[in-house]
Amino acid sequence: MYATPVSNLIDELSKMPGIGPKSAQRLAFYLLKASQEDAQKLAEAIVHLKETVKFCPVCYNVTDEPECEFCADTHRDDTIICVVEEANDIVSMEKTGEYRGRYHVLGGAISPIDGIGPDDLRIKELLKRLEGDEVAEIIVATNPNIEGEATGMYLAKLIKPLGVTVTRLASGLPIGGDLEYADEVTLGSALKGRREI
Amino acid sequence: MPLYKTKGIALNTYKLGEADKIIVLISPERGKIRAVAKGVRKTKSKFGSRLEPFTFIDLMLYEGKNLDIVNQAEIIDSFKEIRADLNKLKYGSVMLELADKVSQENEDSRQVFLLLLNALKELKTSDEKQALLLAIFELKLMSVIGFSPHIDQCAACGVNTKPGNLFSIKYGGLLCAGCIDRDPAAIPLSNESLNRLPEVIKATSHSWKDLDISEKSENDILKLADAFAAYHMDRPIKSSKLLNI
Ligand SMILES: [Zn+2]
Ligand SMILES: [Zn+2]
Repeated sequence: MYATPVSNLIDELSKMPGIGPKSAQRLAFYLLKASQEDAQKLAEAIVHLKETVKFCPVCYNVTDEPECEFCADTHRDDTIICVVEEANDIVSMEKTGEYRGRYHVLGGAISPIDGIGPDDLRIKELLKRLEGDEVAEIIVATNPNIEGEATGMYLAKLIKPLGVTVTRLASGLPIGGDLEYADEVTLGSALKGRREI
Repeated sequence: MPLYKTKGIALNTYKLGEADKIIVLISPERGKIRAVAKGVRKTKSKFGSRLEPFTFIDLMLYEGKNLDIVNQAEIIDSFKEIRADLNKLKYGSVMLELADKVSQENEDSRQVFLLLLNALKELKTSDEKQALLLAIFELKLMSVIGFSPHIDQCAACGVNTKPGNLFSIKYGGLLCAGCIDRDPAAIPLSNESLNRLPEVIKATSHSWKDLDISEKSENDILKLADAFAAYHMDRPIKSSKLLNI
């Protein structure tokens, strides 16, 4: 239907998350009209990203240093590790300004329906980090959906017997929201996680 | 766009764009429904947890050309007991995956829908015999789509009424002594599994818990039911692989 270079680009673009065939076409034609310079910059940014950014060998965050900034920082608390699904979740945790421990990036979540199990995630690597006696608590900060919960339950089953406390981020009502719009599961979990004021 | 109402059970979800999800549901009258839930991945979404897999929901949807759009969703049963227990979640995931695979869009799916709903209700309250429950579900589901296992006469020749203990997935049932060479891959069953198989096939949501069966037989029959279902689905069942994590 299109000249080969165009359909090649559409094929590559449609492999990206959230990009269907229609969006891929739109992006391809945008790039076709873009200036030579802009197209060059985009191509170079992609190549540069793949050449310089690597996974941190300790926590699997993305980094262009030998270790990521959170593992290299000597002022952070070594006794606590916050486990997240993806590296960009670290950014969200850091924005809170409330957390000073270490991180571990699993690279996804357990999803039986998609055939994704513990072996597809960096769980062995997490267990290795617990081998010394230093770590006292694991905070499971996976998404509050079915895959995130499954991952949390699996980690608790695995890690609690090692004498490490496993905690889960509280899930409840969004600040600024209205109680009457909360669904019963969210409200129920907010009730369970209530605290004294 | 026309608006319609239906009940449904959420089977699976896929991320779409920045904050949306595609929800795959099974409904009694319209079969499988694929609908977009806008903004559902945002923490402040009005849908909250209402469209998570396993949830039994009352829905209002806009009918679209390819995908419908969720307008309203109210929970009838969240089945949170299944989602909050790793074992129940594993067995339940196989049920959802199979219901997804056998159902089609715009097709009456009352039988599959009710089978799934009843199985989830049982799973919700059952702390044991979950393998047996899943095996019963798989065999019943296969019957609903037209593949009842043959156990009263030989599945290969159809003549011999005293088949032995070899279950052929290919022929869909037990083989007689004269036919054992026709499927070298047939699965040998223990005496207990062979004797319990007719009751397992006939079990209902009221009677299944009273079945007197060992854990070993339960798991053997589940393996058989799983292989039987995978054969008729033309592909392995992904969530079955994770039953023993
Ligand atoms: Zn690191
Ligand atoms: Zn025969």
